[in-house]
Amino acid sequence: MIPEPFEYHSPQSLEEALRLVTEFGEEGKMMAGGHSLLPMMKLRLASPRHVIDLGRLSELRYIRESDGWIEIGALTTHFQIESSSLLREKCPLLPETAREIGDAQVRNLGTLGGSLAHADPAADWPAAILALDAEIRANSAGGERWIAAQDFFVGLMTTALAPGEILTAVRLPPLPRRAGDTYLKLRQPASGFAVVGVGVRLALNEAAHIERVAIGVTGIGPKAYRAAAVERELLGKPPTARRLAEAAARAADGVQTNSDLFASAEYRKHLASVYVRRALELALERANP
Amino acid sequence: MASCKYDWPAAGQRDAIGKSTDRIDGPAKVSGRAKYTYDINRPGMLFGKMLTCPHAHAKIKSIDVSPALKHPGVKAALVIQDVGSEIQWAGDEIAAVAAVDEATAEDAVRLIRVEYDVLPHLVREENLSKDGDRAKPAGEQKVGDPDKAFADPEAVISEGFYGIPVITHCCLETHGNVVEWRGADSILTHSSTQNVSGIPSQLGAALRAKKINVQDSNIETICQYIGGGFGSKFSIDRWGVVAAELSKQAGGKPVKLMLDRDEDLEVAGARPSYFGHVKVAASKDGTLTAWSSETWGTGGPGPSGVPPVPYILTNIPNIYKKHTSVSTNIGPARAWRAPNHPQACLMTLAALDDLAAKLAMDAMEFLQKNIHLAPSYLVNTYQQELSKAAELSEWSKYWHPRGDKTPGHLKRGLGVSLHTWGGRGHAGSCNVIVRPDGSVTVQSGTQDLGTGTRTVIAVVAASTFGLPVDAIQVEIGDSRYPFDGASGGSTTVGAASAWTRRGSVDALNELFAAVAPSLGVQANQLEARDGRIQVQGNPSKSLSWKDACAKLGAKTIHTVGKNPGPCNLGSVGVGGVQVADVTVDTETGKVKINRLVAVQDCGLIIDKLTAESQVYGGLIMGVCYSLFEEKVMDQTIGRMLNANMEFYKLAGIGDIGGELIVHMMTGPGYDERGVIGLGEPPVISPGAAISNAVANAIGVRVSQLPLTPRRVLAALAKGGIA
Amino acid sequence: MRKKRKLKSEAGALTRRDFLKGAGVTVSGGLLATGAVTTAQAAAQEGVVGPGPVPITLRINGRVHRLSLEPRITLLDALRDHLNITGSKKVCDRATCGACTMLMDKKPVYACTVLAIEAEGHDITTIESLTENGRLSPVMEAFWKNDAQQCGFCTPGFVMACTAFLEKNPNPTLEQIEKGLGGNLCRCGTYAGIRRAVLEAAKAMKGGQANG
Repeated sequence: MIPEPFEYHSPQSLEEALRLVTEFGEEGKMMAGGHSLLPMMKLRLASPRHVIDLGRLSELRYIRESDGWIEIGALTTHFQIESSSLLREKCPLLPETAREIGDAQVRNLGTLGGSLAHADPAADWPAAILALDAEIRANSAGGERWIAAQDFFVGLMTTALAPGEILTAVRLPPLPRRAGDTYLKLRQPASGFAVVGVGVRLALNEAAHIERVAIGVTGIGPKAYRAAAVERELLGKPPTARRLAEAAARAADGVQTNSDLFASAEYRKHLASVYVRRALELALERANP
Repeated sequence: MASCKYDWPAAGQRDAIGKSTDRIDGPAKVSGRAKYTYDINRPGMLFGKMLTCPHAHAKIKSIDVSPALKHPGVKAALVIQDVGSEIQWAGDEIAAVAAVDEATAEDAVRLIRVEYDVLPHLVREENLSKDGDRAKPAGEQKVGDPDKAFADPEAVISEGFYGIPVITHCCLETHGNVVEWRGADSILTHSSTQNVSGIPSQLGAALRAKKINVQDSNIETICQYIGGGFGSKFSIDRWGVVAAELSKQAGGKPVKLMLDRDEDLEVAGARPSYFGHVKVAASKDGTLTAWSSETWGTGGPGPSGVPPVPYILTNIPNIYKKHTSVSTNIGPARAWRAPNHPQACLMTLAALDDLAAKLAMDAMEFLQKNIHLAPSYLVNTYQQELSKAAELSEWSKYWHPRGDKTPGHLKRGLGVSLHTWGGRGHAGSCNVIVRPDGSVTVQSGTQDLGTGTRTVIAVVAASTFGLPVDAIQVEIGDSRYPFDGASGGSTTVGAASAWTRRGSVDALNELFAAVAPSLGVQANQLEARDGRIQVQGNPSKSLSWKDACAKLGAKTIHTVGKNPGPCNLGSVGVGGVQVADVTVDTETGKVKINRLVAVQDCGLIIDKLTAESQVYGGLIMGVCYSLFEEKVMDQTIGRMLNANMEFYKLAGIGDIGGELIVHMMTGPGYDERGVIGLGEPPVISPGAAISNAVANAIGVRVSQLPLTPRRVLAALAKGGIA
Repeated sequence: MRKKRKLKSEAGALTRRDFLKGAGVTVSGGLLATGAVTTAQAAAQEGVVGPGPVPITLRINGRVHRLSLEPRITLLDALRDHLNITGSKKVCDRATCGACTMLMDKKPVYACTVLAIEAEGHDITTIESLTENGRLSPVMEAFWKNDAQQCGFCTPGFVMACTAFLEKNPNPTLEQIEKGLGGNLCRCGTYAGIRRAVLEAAKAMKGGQANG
C-alpha cells in the first residue's frame, strides 16, 4: 500500500517549520516519527498535500534539567527517554513508560511529541504525562505557551494545540519527597497499544498519609484522563489496601468507555479498576522504601 | 523377515537418517539471499494491482476500466468479473491493472469505476437460529442406541457448547506470482506455491478457457522458497491467471502481482469454523457409553468441512451426530494445516474433559481408561504417549481437580489432548544423477515449505550412497524437474524420502555394476560406506567414491525414483499427546502459557532437527489460534474488521510461555513403520489442551476459542472459582 | 545534501504549488503521480520536493545509491523495488511484524514506515551487509544451527533485530530477549529455536570479542 502523492518538506529550523505549518494549514500534516501518520496515509485515510517532516529539527531533541524541572524536546525518541540516565534518576516513570511502548523498532523512531500531538486514545504517554502534572509547550509564529497536561487532551485524537502551533517540549515538575510512581498497562496483544494504561504518582506525608496523588488513565475513553474520583477518595487518607481497592473501583467514573474488537466497554471499565489498584499498590510500595 | 531392496537400513546403519542435520538451505535463508516469489525482480517488470469488491454480496451493474488504462504509466488493464457477475464476498477481485511501478498501479486501480447492486449478506454464523436458509444439512449418523444410553439412570452425563471460529492462514509472504510470456506461446511463472508441479496445468487450463492458447508443457513454474503456505497455496488462483493476462496485454512483460496484506487476510485463506452442542455419557466408573453432537460451521459460500467427531474415540458404542453447513459471504475456505482436525479435537476433547470433571476423575486417567475406544492400531501408541506426557509434564504433581484453590488472582491448571493424522507419502518422482566426477544430484519438481524437504532428500541420498550430506546437490522448486505432488496433508516427507531412496538405490546398483569388475567381485557383494564403495565386510577391498565413479567413464548414471513403488518405505496414521500448563489472571482474564508438552509419533525420522521443529511450530501455531486468532466479521458492513496484522494477532516470542518440551517416539515399534508425515499432527491438539488447562485452572469452561481475556472473564462471571 | 532543499526564506520564492496555480494547470492525482521530473527537480531547488520523482541519495551498507523516487516511496520499497536489495521483507506493511527490520544509524527500524527521503543522510544497514565477507555472522550461524527458521520469510528481520539487540544486551536474560525481539513475528512457530539461537549467538559474540 502506498500513500497518495504529496509534497515533502523537511524544515531545518523551528522557525521554518512554523512558517510551513502556517502556510499549508489544513493541507499540511506534521510528521514526527511517522508511525501513526504513514500507516494512515497508506490506507489513504489521511492524504495530506504536504508532509512537513520535523525529523531534522535536532534542536527539539534533548533532555535537560533546570531549576529542578526536567524539559524534554518534542522530537526526543521513546528510546532516548527509555535510556536516559538523567530520567532514570530524576523521573523513572518516563523510562518505565517508554519501555512499554510498542517494540524496539517503534521506540527508535517514534517521538514523545509525535505521540502526544497525535493523541491516540490508546497511546501510553498521555497517562504518564497526566500522572506527572507535566506541562506541554506549544510554539507558534506569535510565540509560545505552556499547556497543563490536564488541559491538553481535548477529545478523540484532539488536543489543545491551535492551528499553526507546534508541540515543541514537555516539562516536568520535580519529584516530591517520599513519592513513588509507576506505569502499568495491559497491551492489546497484537498492536501493543494500551487496552488500559495507568500512570500513578503518589506522595506520602510525615504521617504516611497520601499527600498527593495523580492518576493518568489511557485506553479507556476517547481521551486520556485523570482519575479524579479515585484521587479524591485517597487524598489525605492512610493508604490501606482496602481503601486503594475501593477507590480504584471508581477509575472509570464518568468516562464514556471505548468498545472494540478486543475489549467491550464493560470489560474496559473493569480493567481500569484492576490496573488503577495495581498501579496504586506498586507506587505505594515504591514510596515506602 | 524377507528384505526388500529399497528397505530402510537397519538401526545402526542409517548414517544421517534419524540424526539431526542442519537445513541445507539454512545459510541462504538466514542471510537473506534466498529469493522468494515476492523478491523476484525481472527486467522490465510491471506491477499488478487489483480492484476488489467492497460488498459482501452484490451484483456488478457496470464497470469501466478505461480511466485506469489512460493513466500514465499503465500498460494493461482488464475486467476480471464483468457486468452481471454475482459477487459472494468482500475482497473478491473485480478488475486489474499493470503499471510501471507499484504506486502508479495503486493510483490507477482507484480510477476504475464500478457500480453494484448490493444484495443481502450473512457473515456471522455462530448463532444457528439466525442463519435461516443459509443453513443446510450436511450429514446425520446414528450408531447403537444413543437415546437408550443417555436414558440410563446410572449414566453420568455432561453437556456443553463449544466453538472455534474462522481463522486465516496469514502466510507472511502473501499470495501471488510474477508471470511473463516468453514469446507467443510460452510462460514462465514465479509462484508462491505449495504445488510447483501442479501450477502449469492449472494455469494452462484457465487460460485456454479464456481462449488464450498455451500448452501446459510450455508453462514453467519456479518456486525456490515460499514464505508460508499452511494449505492455502495449492492453486494458481485467479490473481495468477490475471497476471498472465496482464502480461500478455503488455506484450509479455513480466507482471508481479502479489496480494496486499489486507487482501490476503480477507480472501486468501480461511479455516472453517465449528460450533456445537455436545452431550456425552459414561458409566460411574468412567467408561464412555454415548456421544451426541449437533454441530455447524461455515466454510464461506461453499460447504463447510465436516470434522470427524467423536475424534479418535470413534468406537464409543452409542453415537448420534448431525452437522449443518452454513453458507456465508466471508470468502472461501482453504485447507488449513490438518483440515477438520483441530475443530474435531476441540469439540471432542473439551467435551470429554468436562465429563471427566463431572465424574471427578483425573483427565489423564479418564483418557487412559477409554483409549481402547480409539482405532486399534493407535491404542498402544496412545497408552505409551499418555504415560510419557504425564511424566514430562509432572502431571501428578501439578494436576488438581477443577478450580485452583490457591488464594490470589493467579490460577494454574493442566489440560491434556490427543490427536491423529494420516501422512502417507503422495505420488511423485525424482531424477537421481551420479556423474563420473562423483557429483550427485537429486532433482524433483517438489517444494520446500520450510518443512525441510531439501534436507530430507539430501539425508536420504547421502545415507544411501554412504556420503556426507553436503555431497548431495538438491535441485527442486521447478516444474521442469520430475513431477511431484503438492505439499499438503503431511505427504511430502513420506514421498520425498521414498522416491529419493528408490532412485538412489537404483543408481547405487548401477554404480556397483560398473565398479564390481575392478574389485573382482559381483555387484551384489558391494556396499557403500563412509565415502567408499567396498566389498561387504571388507573395507580393505574398496574404492573411494570418486574413484568408483571414475569407473563410469563417459557414462552418467540417471535413475528415476518414484512413489508409490516397491517395498514399504512409509505408512500412515500417527498419534500424539499434548499437555498444556497455564496460569490465568482471574482479574484481567489473561491466559499465560507456562509449559507445553508434546509427545509425538511419526514413524521413522529422517532429520530429527527439522522434525522437532515441525512439532515446536505446531505447538506455537496452536497457541496462536487458542489465544488470539479470529477472523472477525462485521454483519453490518459484511467485512472483516481485522484484516491487518495490528489486529489479527499472531503470537510473538513473549507469548509462548516458558518451556516447550518435545518428545519424539522413536525406536523399535515406531521406526519400522517407515516414514510418516508430521506437518499436520502437532497443530491439532493445542486448542483442546489449552482450553482444558484453562478450565482446570479456573473451574469453568470457556466455551469458545480463542480464549481472549474478555471471554475468560465472561466465563468466570457465570461460575468457576473466582 | 539537505541544503539544496532548504526553503529559501526570501519573499517571492515560488513554490511548485504557486507555479502550478499560476500556470493555470489543473492538478490531478494522476499527473502528480507520474509528475514531470523536470518540474519537480526545479522545485526541489526551492526546498519543496515532490510529489513527482526527486533525486534521493541513500547510503546503504556503506555504499551510496542515487535514485529518483517520489517522496511517498518507503525505504523498504526503494530497496526492494528499485535497488533489488530484497533480504528485508514486506509482510504487514505497517510497522507491526518486523520482517522489514533494518538498521538506521545502527538502530533497528521498520523500513516499511520510513520514507526513503527521510533516510537520506542516515547510515542504512541491511541483512546483506552481514555476509559481505562471504561468511555467516554469528547471529546467522546461531539461527541456522538452532533451526530458528522454517519458511524463513521472517528470518532476515529477526536476524537484524537480534543483531542490534545483542549489541545493546550482550548478556541477555530470556525476559529481555522476549521484550527485545517482541517487534518481530513468525508464523511457522520458530520461537523455541530463536530463543536458543539468541543465547548461543550472545555467547559466540562474546567469545569472538575475547579472542580479539
